[in-house]
Amino acid sequence: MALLSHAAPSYCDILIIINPNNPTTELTKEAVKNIFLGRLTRFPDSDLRVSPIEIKQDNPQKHRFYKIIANKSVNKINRYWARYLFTGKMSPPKKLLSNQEIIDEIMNNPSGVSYIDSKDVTSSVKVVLTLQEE
Amino acid sequence: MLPRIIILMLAVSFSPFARSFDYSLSGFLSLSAGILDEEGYLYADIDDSLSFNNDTILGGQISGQFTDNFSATIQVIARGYSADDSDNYKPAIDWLYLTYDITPELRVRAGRMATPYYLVSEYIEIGAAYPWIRPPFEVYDPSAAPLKSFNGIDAVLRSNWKDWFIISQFIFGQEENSTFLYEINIHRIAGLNLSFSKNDFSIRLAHFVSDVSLSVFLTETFLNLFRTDNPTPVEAKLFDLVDSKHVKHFYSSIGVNWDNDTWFVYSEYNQATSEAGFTPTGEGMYLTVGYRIGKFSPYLTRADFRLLLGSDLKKHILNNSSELPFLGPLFLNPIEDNKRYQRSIALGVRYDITNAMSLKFEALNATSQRGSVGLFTSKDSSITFAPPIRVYSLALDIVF
Repeated sequence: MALLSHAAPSYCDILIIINPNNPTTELTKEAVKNIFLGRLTRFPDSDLRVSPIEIKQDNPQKHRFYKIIANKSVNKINRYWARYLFTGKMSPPKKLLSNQEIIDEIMNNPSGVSYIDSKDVTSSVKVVLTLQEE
Repeated sequence: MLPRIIILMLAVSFSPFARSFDYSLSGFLSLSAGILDEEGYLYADIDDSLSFNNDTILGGQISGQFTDNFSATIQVIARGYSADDSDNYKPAIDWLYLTYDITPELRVRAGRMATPYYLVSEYIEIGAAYPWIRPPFEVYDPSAAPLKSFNGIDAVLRSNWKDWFIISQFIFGQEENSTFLYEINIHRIAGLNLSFSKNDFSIRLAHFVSDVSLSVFLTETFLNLFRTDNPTPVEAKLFDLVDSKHVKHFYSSIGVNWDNDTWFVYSEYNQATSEAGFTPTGEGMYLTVGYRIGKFSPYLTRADFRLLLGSDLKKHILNNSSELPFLGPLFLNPIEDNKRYQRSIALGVRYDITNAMSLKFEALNATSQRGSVGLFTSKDSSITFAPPIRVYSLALDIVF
């Protein structure tokens, strides 16, 4: 039992998920960071554009995600986007209300990419990176 | 024509015939009050009695996504401050543009947009997006950034070079603006800005050229009194310089921003120059250093400003003083009177009440130099100098 829980992703893991038809099989932490800061516009190994999607609320999942990928607070990320949101130079990640909505969107959007708690993942999406708290 | 097309497209999109139309609504409100400690002077709209008009802004923005690549944006703003107080809180369309993503990296826009002169010019109305109550006037004074918005096109390219993320923007357009005092016609504005970011650091370079005709109504009336049918070449050249028609203006700047979530630094240097006439030539710089302690972000800004009117005109008059015994001094005096030098120190603090709401306070100590009024306006036009003045401002910024 102890072995099993060690092998499976722990409760705290955050998974980077994409559409199952997307040819990409894995993403680096750096690529994920750049996608969510608007600094990477296409998947690294294909010409497919990226459409980042995330949860609207500033919840623990979001705090952990930005802490792990960029060592940034959600406040700093919000400040970063405030300047682009109103200038129209680039668009922040699309915001959805629940992990279920995120999974539905990823299933329907070939270019979608998002992050969710491992407990909420389903087999209908493809996991390309597992983030663990350091 | 373009505004009508955009409004029509938005109307169609909201109609029952439109399918899968995404739109986003956002808004911002800045409530601001200010007072200064010297009678007879104005700093923008702030004087020695407490006023809530200056810097108070209410804005709303709607973006409609028609397809993955195609969207429209409209932003309406009501400002508490206008040059002649007649348009206070009158809503105006600040932005109205169509966006098309040619590729994921290249975005083109057409319509009415913010003029991206300096680091925060494009979101100067969104107090929540920067630490100050208002960006330092030493760089953001209207003489150095005369157009809030312009009509035209732009192209925004996102690229990566080594570890750097680069946003390049090219703009091209025109704009007219008039008040009861003057009419300014920007026949053409073109410019390029490049922003390089790496980790917590970014540096921005910008250069704009515009072709400007300026009519200051009082000056024109005054000038006409002295025009003759047969001016000498030297006199003709003088009038040509004073007329300020189709004068080229140049705006150059370099700005840096560093923010590691605890400490933050903003610094900019700008130069606004023009080829001829009464139009100003100026330069400004500032350095802001701030620190975040929990919900508080205190900051200190040190800034300098220098503005000269009509240096070419001055040269012409001084070089030909014998041929301009009467007209020369007549035009030289207003130029001398309009030198403006200012040095200021501001101490401020931002308190984040929530993620979407912050309260700011700033105390500014401005010293006008070399017998000028600096960036102040004297209510009595015969007074052309200002003592050191303190300006206190309080603002509540909300985004929703």
